[in-house]
Amino acid sequence: MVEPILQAAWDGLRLVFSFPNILYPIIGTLLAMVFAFIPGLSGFTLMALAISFTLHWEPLPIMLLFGAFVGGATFMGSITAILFNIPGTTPSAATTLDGYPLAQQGEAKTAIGCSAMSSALGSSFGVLVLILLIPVMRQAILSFGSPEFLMLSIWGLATIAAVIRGSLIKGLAAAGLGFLLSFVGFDPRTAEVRYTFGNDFLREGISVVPILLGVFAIAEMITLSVTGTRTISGSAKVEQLTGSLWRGVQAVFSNFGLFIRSSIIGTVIGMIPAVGGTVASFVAYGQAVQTAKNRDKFGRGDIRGVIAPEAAHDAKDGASLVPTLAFGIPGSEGTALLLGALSLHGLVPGKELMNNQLSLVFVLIWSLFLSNWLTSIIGVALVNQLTRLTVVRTQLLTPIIFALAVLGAYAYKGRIEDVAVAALFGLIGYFMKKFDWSRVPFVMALVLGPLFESNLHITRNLHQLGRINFWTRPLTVALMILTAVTLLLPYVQGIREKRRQRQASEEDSS
Amino acid sequence: MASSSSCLQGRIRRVQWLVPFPPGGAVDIYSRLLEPYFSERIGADIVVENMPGAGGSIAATKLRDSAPDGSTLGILNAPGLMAAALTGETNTPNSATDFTILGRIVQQQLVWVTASNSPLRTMDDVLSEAKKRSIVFAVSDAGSTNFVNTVIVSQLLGLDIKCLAGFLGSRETSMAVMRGEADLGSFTFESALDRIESQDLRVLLQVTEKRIAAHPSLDNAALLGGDKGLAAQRANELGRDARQAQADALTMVRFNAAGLLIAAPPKMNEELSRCLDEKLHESLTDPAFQAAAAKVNRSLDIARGAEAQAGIQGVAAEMEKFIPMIREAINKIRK
Repeated sequence: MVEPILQAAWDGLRLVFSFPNILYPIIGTLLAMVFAFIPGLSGFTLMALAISFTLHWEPLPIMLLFGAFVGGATFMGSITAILFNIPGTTPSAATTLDGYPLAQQGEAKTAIGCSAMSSALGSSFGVLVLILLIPVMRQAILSFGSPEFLMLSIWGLATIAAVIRGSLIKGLAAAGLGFLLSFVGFDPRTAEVRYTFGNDFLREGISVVPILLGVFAIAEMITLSVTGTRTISGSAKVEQLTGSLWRGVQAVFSNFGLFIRSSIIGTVIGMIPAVGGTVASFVAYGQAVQTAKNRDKFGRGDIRGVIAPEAAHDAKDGASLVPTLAFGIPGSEGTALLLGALSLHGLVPGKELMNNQLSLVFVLIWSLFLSNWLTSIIGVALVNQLTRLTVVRTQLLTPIIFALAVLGAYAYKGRIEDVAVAALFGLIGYFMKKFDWSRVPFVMALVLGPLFESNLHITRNLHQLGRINFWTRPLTVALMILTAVTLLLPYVQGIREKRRQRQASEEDSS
Repeated sequence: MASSSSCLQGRIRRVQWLVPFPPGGAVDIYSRLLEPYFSERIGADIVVENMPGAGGSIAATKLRDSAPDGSTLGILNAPGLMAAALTGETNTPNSATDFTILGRIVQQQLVWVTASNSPLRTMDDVLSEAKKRSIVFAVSDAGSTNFVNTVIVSQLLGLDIKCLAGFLGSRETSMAVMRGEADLGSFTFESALDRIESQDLRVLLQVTEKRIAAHPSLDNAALLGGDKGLAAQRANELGRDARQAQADALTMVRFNAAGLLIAAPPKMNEELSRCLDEKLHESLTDPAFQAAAAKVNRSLDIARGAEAQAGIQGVAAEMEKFIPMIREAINKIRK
């Protein structure tokens, strides 16, 4: 079983790195980077456009190009997240939490270097898991059912408590608001329309992209304008910036345990159909906060707050191909389009593709791998030019960024209503920041709400029908234990801290 | 490019083509395959715009409300819109009356499937098992085509079912069947074919009067309709009117067969709609288009606009008798 896989892997590698084939992933990566850099556009937009252009292409260049699209967009969205607090892709929203504060402290280079390394290694982790899972990918996907999805969402929600800065009540209220907003639109089970007030636009629910653009990007631009901050970094000259690319790269290795944990989270969540990188990034961020010994700097420029979401976000790329290739079920929006491109060329995911065209599958995998590293390398090469933007006066920068955010909100689905949503949440985000209401729990609940709701009902029904037994499902039990640990950990840590402080004061007094 | 004999006569150079599902899906693929052939014939560029959401009714609503000047056309999932209307969704456009139908591209033929490793290997097994317990059916949501099909066909067969609803799409629903969480699922044969051929799913019932295709997976699958079909057989066993059962089964077959339609906004100028109808038909019957569709395993069941429109109007009226049954099933889910 191993030999055919190794042979196919080698054949795929030779195909990718031969000339002129290599040009496809290079061009695809560059295009994906441009699209991901512009807020509201994304690799998804590029792939949707490319489907038409590539209609008459052969399967090989399709795999080369679309593999690069899937991998190429991921890192660039983090650059805008770090520099301007604008998530270039929705999963990058988690990177804004500590990446942007680092830029504000003149440490944009550090954040970008860290992001580049974390992304490249994270994606390699995801690709490695994908390759290892090839012989058993169908069984792996079938072992995840509604109870596992439910427990995963509960675990994700449980990590919210860990990421709340300041008042717990405010944080939980923000999470409640996010949860409530996630219910707007069609009920996934009964098809009833909820909380739309007769408005057709809301029937589909409120899209996450314009909310994120509002809560992070627009809110930040309002803050910069109101506070009269001179430049994003606070420095007037590039020479005054204190960031170091190398320090950022090193940080990944000095927090390697965190990197591995986050990559595992991204990989596991990436394999769950239709969940996507946003959930992976935020859950990884939450666990980073929760497991940190000293968590005071999170949300204020802690490099670990960049490592975790970046690793998870990129690890998901390879993992999201597992359900796609095994069963034709997209693990993300990007892989949904990949499926479309494959279908248009008569390539049907499943046993047929995996058994008879495995080398073509490896072309896709290697192209994804190559483009992930290419984006990190190019991003690092451009870091000096990019960080200069943090010393540009905000009077010049704010209108441009504001316009890009508005453009991004409109470009997402071509609806002016999304611009209104972004503007509204821009105001809400500004006031949340001003009055110390944490935005992270709001976003986490918004993103996890649909996953939680649909799987809660299905799991409840399955249990009532006697179709499942939680205690005989090892993954469900493991996630239950993880959730319990997540909920208890803050108390245990609190008790330990109090004991340590008491001991320290006793030692001082003696 | 525009020619003097094209339908739009150079007035419109860019046609917006609305697709009610995300890019890359089956409906989107048909649109992208058709686009170059139709674009050439009508003398305008066609821009495919995906407007997923609300089971297709968001795109359908936009199409209905657009100007009937040929600048906006689209593809409709007729059974989906009819299902939404049957379940009480008042905002959904009526596929029978709210559009100018230009043609049909494909009919849908539904099958009931189970997991390959399920102990239910035939419909006889299902009927036998149903005497002991409710049969669990995976459906996406209570407004979907597969929910409507499941409820009505189960009633025809005298099956006591429980619907397991809330899955995001047909692939996720089929995963629930493959995992054994549900006994059965209902899908179009074409969309489930890859999983049938990879032996993840087994076909138990064809919701048709005739065999769908000369495919080995259908060798042991029962037929719903026809005088020897399962609906008539079950009616006899249960002491019901077999002819009525047969008629109801045919209604379901025709409901699904309403298929994917190419449509324009209502009240289109007759000359324009006739021209577009003609050009569409030429495109659909173009051997190059048909070869392209065959290459990607997309079947075609082409019909002109008038035929397609008559078909929907007839079946929409017939389906109204099932409304009480459907609403009762929905209320059970909503409890």
